Amino acid sequence: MQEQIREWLEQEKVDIFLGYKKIQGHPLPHCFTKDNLDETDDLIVGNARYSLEKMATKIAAEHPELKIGLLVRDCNQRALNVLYVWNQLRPDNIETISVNCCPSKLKEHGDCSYLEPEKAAPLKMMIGIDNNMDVEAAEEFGQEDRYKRWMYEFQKCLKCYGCRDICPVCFCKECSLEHTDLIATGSVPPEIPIFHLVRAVHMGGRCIDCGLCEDACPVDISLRLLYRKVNDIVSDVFDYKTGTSADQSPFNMLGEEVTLELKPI
Amino acid sequence: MTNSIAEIEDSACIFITGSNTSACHPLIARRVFRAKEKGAKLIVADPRNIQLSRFADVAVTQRLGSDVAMLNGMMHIILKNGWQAQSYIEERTEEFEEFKAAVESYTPDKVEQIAGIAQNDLEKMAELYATNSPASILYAMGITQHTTGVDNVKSICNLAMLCGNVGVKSGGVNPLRGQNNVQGACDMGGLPNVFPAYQPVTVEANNEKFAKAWGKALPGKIGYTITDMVRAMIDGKLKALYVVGENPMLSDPDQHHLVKALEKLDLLICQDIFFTETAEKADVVFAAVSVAEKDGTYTNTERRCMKVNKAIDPIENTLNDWEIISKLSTAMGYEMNYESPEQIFDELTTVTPSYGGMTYERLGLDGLQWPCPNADHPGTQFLHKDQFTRGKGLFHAVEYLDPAEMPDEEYPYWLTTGRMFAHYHTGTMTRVSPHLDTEQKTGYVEINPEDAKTLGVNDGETVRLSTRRGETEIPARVSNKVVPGLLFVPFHFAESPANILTNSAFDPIAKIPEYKVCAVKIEKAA
Repeated sequence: MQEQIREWLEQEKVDIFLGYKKIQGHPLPHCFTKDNLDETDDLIVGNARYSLEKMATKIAAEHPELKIGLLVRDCNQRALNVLYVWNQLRPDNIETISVNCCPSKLKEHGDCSYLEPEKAAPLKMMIGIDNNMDVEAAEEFGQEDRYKRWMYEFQKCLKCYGCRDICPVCFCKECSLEHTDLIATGSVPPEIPIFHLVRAVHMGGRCIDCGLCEDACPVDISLRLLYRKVNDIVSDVFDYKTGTSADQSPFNMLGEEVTLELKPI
Repeated sequence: MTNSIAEIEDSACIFITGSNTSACHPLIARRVFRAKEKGAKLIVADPRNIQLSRFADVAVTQRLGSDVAMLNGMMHIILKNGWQAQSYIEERTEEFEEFKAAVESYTPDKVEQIAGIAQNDLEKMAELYATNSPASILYAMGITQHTTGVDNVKSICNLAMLCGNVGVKSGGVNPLRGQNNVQGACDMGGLPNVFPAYQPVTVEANNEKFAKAWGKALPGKIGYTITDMVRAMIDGKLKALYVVGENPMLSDPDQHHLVKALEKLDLLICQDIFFTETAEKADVVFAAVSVAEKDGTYTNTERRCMKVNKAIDPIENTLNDWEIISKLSTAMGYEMNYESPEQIFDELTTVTPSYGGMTYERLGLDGLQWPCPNADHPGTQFLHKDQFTRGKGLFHAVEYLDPAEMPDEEYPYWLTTGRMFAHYHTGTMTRVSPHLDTEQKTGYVEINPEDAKTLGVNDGETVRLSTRRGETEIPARVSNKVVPGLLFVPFHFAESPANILTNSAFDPIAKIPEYKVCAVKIEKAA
């Protein structure tokens, strides 16, 4: 693989290549270039997972013509598809090298198992939302109970924005979470549940279930489950499977007929 | 901290007082949440209703400055019920009887009078802390920034020893340090009375040791604390001040008084990464490099010395702190010719016993926790395991004393100050961040809805706060976080400075000012 990347850079198939390099003991995302070809020998593939495609988006915004290569697991590929749909990256400018992935709920032959949350602690099981739960199990709670459980989780929020900052498909120039008319600022927890619901709504048709948000959350809020539910709705209503292709999303153009019944306000 | 951050997760009981942990130490709050979910009991005692209060088994809002009474009251109840760790007390501590006699009079009734804590809440606090072991105490500036700061800390130590919680995993007395390297700065002797590793300057042997190491005779007497310095400047006894990485214009109490002191100086030097309010007053400003541009070590709140590696080269016209100090020292006639931070580190480990076994190589990725006295020592996860530093743990008989200033007819409200989650200290670094600025653009005063109603003040309206030191106008934030009669002002905002209001009365031993309590008047601004 290192040789292939070196070739790509030499032959200018790509201008830069985003992968990982061990720096002072840490596997960190790294930008490999033609100027430092020998560095490609140090490229590693380990458990470390960052949203390389998010970095690509930021680089492409400043250098739209740049050809970018990157390492992709299945989740990175799904994120790329979403970024293509939303015109954040141009497929013509992206070259990928696939690396092994793990058995996860989304892909049978991959390995995200190191991202699986540890067994939930007793109190969390009792009054919160177990991070290992699936949507069906969570729906077995009565509505009132479910609301209380989510509110328990949201109350812990430290407003660190880790979920947003790590998210590969969060690319808006202006973030609704920082819109002071929508969500009050200046205290922790943030205004709940609106802070988390605004983010959840924005994940509809976008979230590719990579789990980085939940991994980043310092207080173990079950974000992945919340966004899975949102995408289940998208799938049920629009028959759209987020991230599976670079086809048009139901959210970036108006359809010809209303498919949702209007609800009384 | 006597113990380590990760250990908090396995405590059976966590008692948090004078620390708004989730706002000011979020990654320690993470451990508290996890501990709670695993089944730990949580006690929160803070004059304000903080985020963690919602998760507590018992949460109380004690009156400002009443901590000694509250803690003595808890210990009174523990002793009455025989919940103390008797064999631990007998084997590992001394002067227990004097202490016991002192807490005898702190009945729940008396404590309720002083601290405003309901008797059954106090009983619950005592029971939870004493009967769930190991129990960990977390505190911060809410305990220390008082004229009775040292008494407060002694009382916390009494409580921890009384229940056998010092020297055990997941227990301990854990002050959460407010800066990434304040522990390191203290370890290195950045205090007026000690050399590195807290070796007193008044001990002749220490003086000789360092005179030999540094090749220079040393004064052998205790220097000034910050509090002393301001007074010495006013008196004309201190003529030059060199401020490194600090912004006393906002962080010292009683700003008017401080400005007068600074104006009396012949020379003010300021060394910082940004042009601070203090730098504006300086004769000479040295531009230092930021964290991303430097190599070195930090020692954090759990005594962990960690390597920091530069990510980028220093930007133009800036220097590393150590280079600035070396050049200045050389220019003043004491040559310092270091090649690298590592060379300095290697030198300090020869005179700092608790760092004696550390090298850059050994620090590796995770660092080492002191004491780490020799090359084979793995570092120390928690202190005082088999014995205390002085041998036996010393109980102190501590009596409650009123704060230096309490509300009266003229200044009828209690005022306390502190941090809010989006900003750090005097805002030098955080107020220039667009995201953090969006989060909180201005200063504010928190006021209880009842008080706001009485004063006819709506949320967001400007009010005038005045104390015996000065006054400021500031937007009101109507909030149940504060109880009636109490106001809170964060100290990050130069345009509505908390330190124009705060009292410079200080603890007689630690010399720490009473930022957490003073009397204030509030009026609607005209």
